[in-house]
Amino acid sequence: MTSKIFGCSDAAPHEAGPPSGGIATSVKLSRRAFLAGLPFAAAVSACRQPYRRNDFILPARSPVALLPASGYDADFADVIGRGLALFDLRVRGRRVFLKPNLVEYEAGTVINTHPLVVAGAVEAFLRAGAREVVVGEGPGHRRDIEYLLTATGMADVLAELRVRFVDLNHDDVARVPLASRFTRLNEMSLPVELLKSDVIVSMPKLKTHHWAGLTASMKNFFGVVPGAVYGWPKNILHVKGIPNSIVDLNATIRPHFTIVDGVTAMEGDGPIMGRPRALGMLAMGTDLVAVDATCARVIGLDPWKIPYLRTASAFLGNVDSRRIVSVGESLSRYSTQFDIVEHFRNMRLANRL
Amino acid sequence: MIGSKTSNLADALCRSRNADGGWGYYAGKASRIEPTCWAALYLSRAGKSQPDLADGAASWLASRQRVDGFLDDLTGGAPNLGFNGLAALSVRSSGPWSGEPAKELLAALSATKGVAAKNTTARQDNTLQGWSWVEGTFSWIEPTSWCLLALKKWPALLPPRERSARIDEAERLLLDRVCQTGGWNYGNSNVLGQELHAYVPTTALALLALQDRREHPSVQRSLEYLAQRRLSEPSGMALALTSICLRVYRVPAGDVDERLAALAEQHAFFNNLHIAAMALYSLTGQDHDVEDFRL
Repeated sequence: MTSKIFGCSDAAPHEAGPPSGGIATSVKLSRRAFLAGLPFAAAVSACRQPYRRNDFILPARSPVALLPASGYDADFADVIGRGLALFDLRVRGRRVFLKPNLVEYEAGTVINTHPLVVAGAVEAFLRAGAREVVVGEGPGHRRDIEYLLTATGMADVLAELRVRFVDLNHDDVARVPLASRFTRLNEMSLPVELLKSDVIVSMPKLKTHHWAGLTASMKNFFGVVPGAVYGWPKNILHVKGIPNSIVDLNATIRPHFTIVDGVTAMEGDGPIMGRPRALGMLAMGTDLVAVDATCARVIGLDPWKIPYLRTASAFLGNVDSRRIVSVGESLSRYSTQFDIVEHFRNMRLANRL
Repeated sequence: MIGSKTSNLADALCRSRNADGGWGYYAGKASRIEPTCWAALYLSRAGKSQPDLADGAASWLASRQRVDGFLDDLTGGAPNLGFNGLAALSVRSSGPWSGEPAKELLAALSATKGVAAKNTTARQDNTLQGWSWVEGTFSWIEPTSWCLLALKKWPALLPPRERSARIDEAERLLLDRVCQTGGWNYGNSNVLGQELHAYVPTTALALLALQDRREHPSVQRSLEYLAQRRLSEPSGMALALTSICLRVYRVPAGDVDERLAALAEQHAFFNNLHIAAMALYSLTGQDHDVEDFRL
C-alpha cells in the first residue's frame, strides 16, 4: 500500500475551494453526550452558526483508505479487516451497528450496498473483537423491507451469519436534540437500536444522486430516520433541504466509521435509475466528510460544489485535500469521470469539464 | 390448509400483545397505531375466540386520540395521516372505537391536505392536494388512498359538501399519478423525464380507494396490472394488500393467499406483527369478505 498526503495534487488547483470565513475548529462532546440532551437552544441562538462551534473539532489530518476489490467475489472480510487495521477505531467488546444502503430492488442494477460487502464487514468487526454486530436500515423509498431483504439476498446472508437485522422504519424511537440546526428543527425522533450502539458504521453504495449530486457515507443516514414517524420518502428531509438534513443528521449521530461500496458504483440518474459503473474499490475512514470528498474526487466531482460537503467542511470533517491523507491506494488509481444529471454538470471538477 | 399454516402466526400475534392492549411492530416494542389497527381488524373478524383482545385494541386506539381528533403514536412527531386513515377504517359500530371518536377523526382528516406545489411540467398536476404522511409535506399515494377510502367508507360522519370536495380532489390526484403501465408508484409517475415503475402494494391500495370508480380506464388498466403482477413482489405486505384488493374487485386470487400462507410458514414475515396481522386478516377473507375495506 502507498501512503501519501494529497497536498496540492492534481485535483486541488481545479476545485472551487472552501467557503469564505475559514474553517471552524474544535472539539469534543461525545455522541452519547449529545444524545443525552443538552441546553442547546440558548447557546445556538447566541451565535450565528446553527451549531455550537466548540462542540466540534476538525481533525488535523483525516486518513482515507481506498482499497482494491475488483469484484463481488473478493474476500471482503479480509479487505475490510486490513482496512480497519489502518484506523484507530475501538471495536473490542463493543456493539457495532452497520447501516447499509437498501433502497429499492431492480434486477441487474446496483442500487444497494452488496450483501457480500455487508457480510464481510460483519466478519471483520467480529474478528476485531466486537461484542455484537447488528445490521439495520429504514428504506426511504420502498417501505416493504421484507421484500427488499429477500429480493436483494440480504436476508439469506444475514441468516447464515446469524446476525440480527433491525427495521429502523418501525423501531421504538427517542427524541434527540439536533447538534446542528441547518434544518431549523430542534430535535428528531431516531431509532433506539441505533442510539444504543457503541460504534456506528455507514455502509453506503457510491452513487451520483439527482437531488444531492452525490450519495455516499453521509446521505446514507437518511435511512435511520423512521418512516413510521416521518412517512415515506421521509419527505420532511426534502422540505427542510437535503443538504441541511444530511449535515444535521451526521452532526447529531456522529457516525464513527464508513465503508463505501464502490466495487460497482452508479452513475447518471442515481440513486435508483442510474447505470452501473465498475470502480473496483472500497473507501474507508473515520472522517465521513473526508471519505465522501475523496469519493467525489474519484468520480470527477468537485466536493466544494456539493452543498452538503461544503457546509460540513466548516465543522464536521475535512474536504480540503491538504488535510486528507491517503492510507490505501492513491486516488489516481481509481480516478474517472462519472456521468451526472444535466442540472449537476457544474459539479464536475474544473479540469474535467 | 391455509388455516393450519397460519395458526402459529395467530398464536404469536396474540402472545405479542402489550399490557396496554396495543401492538408494536415487533414483539417487545411500544404499541403503535398501525400494527394495533391491523390486529384489531383481524381479531374483530376472527370469530368469537378473541373478543377481549379486539376490545383491548379498540380501547388502546381510543386512548390515543387527541383533542383535535387525530390519533397520536406519541413518538414525538406529528400525527401520521396514513395511519389515521387506517384507524378510521378500523372503527366498529359499537365499543370504545366507534361513533363520536370516529366522527372527530374524520373531521380532522377532512380538514388536512398535503401541500400544493407549482407545476413544473405538463405531465403532472402538483396543485392537487390529497394527503401527505405528515402535515406540511407533499401528497403521496399511500396516505391519500387510506384517507380517501376512510372518507368514502363513512358517508354519514361528515357534511356532504365538505366530504365530496375532498373525495373529488383526492380521486383526481390518484388518477393524475397513474403510471404508464397502469398502477402506482409511491408518488409521482415520472421524475426528470424518467417513467417510474408501479408497485404492487401502492397499486392495491389506490385501487381500494377507487373501487367505486371501476369504470374509469385508468382503474381498469391498473386492475389488470395488479392481476398480472400479483405474485411478483413476494412479501407479506404486497400479497396481503393484493389479496384484499382483488377480493374487493371479485377477482379470483387463491394463488395469492397460498403464497402468503407459505411465507407465513417460511419466515413469519421476519416477526413483523403489523404484517402478520395484515396477512391473517387477508387469509381469513373468505369468512368476512374483507368488509372493512369494501364500500
